[in-house]
Amino acid sequence: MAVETFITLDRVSVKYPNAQDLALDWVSMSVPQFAKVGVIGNSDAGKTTFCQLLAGIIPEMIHARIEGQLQIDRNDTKQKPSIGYVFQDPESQLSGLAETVADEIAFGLVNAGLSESEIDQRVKRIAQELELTSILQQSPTEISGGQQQRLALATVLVVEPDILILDNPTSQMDPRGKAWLFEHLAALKKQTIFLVSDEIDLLCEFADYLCVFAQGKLLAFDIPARVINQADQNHWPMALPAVYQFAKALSKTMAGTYRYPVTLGRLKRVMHDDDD
Amino acid sequence: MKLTIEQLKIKNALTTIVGANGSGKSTLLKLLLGLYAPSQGTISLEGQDLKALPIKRKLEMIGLVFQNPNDQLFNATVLQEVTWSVRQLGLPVVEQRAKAALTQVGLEAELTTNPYDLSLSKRQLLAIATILAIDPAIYLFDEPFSYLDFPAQQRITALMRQLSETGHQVIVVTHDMDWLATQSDEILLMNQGTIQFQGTPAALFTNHDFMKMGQIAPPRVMQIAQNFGDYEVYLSIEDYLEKIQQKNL
Amino acid sequence: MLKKAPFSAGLVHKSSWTRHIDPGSKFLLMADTIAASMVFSSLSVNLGLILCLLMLNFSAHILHKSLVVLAFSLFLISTMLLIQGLFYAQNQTPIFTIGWLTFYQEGLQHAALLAGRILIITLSACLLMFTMTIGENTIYLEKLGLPFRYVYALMSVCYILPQMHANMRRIQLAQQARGVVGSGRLRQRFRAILPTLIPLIVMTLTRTINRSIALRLRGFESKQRQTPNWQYTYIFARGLHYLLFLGLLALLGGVVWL
Repeated sequence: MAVETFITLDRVSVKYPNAQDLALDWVSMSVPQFAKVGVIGNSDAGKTTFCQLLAGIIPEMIHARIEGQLQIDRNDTKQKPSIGYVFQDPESQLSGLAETVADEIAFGLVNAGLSESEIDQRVKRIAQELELTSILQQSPTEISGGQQQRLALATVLVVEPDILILDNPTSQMDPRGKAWLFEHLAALKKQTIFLVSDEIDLLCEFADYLCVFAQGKLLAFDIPARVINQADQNHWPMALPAVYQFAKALSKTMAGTYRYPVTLGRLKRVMHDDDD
Repeated sequence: MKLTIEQLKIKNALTTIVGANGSGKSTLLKLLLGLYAPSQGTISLEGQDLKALPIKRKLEMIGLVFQNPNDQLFNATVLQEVTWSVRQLGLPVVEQRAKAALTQVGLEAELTTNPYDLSLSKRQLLAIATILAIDPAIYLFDEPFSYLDFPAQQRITALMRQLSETGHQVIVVTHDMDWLATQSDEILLMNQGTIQFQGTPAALFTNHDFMKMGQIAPPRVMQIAQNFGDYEVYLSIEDYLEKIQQKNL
Repeated sequence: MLKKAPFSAGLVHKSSWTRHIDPGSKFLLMADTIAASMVFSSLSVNLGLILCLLMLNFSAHILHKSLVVLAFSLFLISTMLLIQGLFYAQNQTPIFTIGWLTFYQEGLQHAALLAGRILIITLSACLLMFTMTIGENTIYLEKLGLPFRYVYALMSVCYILPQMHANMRRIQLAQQARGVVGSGRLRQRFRAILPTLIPLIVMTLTRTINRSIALRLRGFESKQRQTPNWQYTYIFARGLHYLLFLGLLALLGGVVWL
């Protein structure tokens, strides 16, 4: 079955005023609805520009010159798809007007003009999902960096956006918190997600597609296994998942391909097939 | 933040401090540097009480790389940022030291760039260079990898190794278990302001209570092994491969 | 006080009378005390006002915070005493001499009055600032009919300052680790300014830009926005408004009359 495309970039370039180089250089890709896309690349590769372009922040709020076409299809409700964006720095995300974590989560819902009982219900549900219930009555400025990042995500998830764009949302979390959040995001079924992260192992488990940026260019946009195998062959300066390194050392390729697996599930299958 | 430490000795090695958010890791680094004074007890360096040392003398011996380089950068160029640090402590051969340090972190082509025109990863490298130029005996790093990209992480890891092998003490606060499993000689686990554990990475990963306390996930290689029903401690993929090969023989 | 509280539980409000008073009354009270201190130029009236305000601050459990703010203004006051005591235009009667400096009664009296007024402004502003929360003010102003974006612009001043303060402490510490000495001699303090100020300004600007983007994406300017319905109940709000407003009129009228 052909997957219907939802977001299409057609030869998109972005150049900031006064910058010498292009921030994004001739980027083309098409992303199906409900896809989970991992975004990787070294610093200054164009990851944030890419995210802000998708969210419409560029050029609406940050000025830049854009060439090419970015198309986001209307979904079945015939409404413009809504977009949730989470900044890398959680303090930038929070309104500052809320005395409590609960108020901060409710902010977007109040803006949307929802009824009080609906707001109440949704805040409680999202707090439970993101394990924020115990700190609902605390001040957003008094919780830890990791908790703030979870709160930032909650403020966006609570309005149930169609597209979720997350710029390094786990940078201040401990290892367990990171793993927990990736699993939670992977379980979201109603969103198309773009997730910028350096956690290559977790990204490979999470993502349907990986896109790799370098100096504004899109080096690859494909399923994780292909991207990682290609990256290794071409010696791209990026981290390789442990599963891949392990399978490669044992020369265990996936059935019918010359590629090594990148997820635990596939690795297990590869090892299992071998035992038979 | 309350910190209670009965006794702690750190000898020449690459030491890592781990612990959940708010367990007192950063506070410990700031105590070691003398930015906070202990309300009780003493911290001594090669037998000398830290409190007795003048601040500049202390900073000559101990350098702390902060988590967020944006808290520190204020000069007009990359080179000036480093020379300013060196002058601040009144050390000789300012320019030479600064350039050498910037070369070590790979910023030699950015000498005249404004620090705020650099990417966050390069700003962190610059912050590291300001400490390298001082060449202290002890290096403290507070979550140095959170803003460094992959090539920069590899560069700084190699640098830390090199420093510890040339007789420097390197102490790193990090959440990166894959990193500390392969790079760290000794680990301190902190919880609620106390040190709960001091020992090798292997010893830490054998103890489930400690791992839970520090919100630690085992290194990825152990997760792979556990998937195959093997609950031994492995610090690197090579470790595990060796074990598999032995089994197959 | 919060009657219906689905979310807010009034964090800043401790058990004190101030939580029953609405922000409007608090603002009028501030206007009244300041007007009174401007109208009456007698030292004893101003001293009385200061004592009253100190008592109000104390009973609102915020005196410890207000005193910190007062400490800042003391620097201003002491320079004023010095300058006016020495150089006030109407200086005639010398009181005392330190070395070659002669202080005059007129100048000192004038400075004392100005100092009193500064203290009154500070204390009444503290009473206003420290007994309200940003959330309470936001709702109050929005309910008065002010468009939310203006409410936000007003309130952002209130939270940017404490946030900048927290950032400043962190930056100071980070620069201390590079050998910046933030205390001691004036020259040292002066040299510590740039290393702290530049990162602070850059950081505040970046965050402000990012926050305005984040808020727009969160529907901050949406036309569907409904003023939150949960409300604070205040005792005698309307009556207090009349009373305090009349007081203000009387004081201002007094200026014209006298």
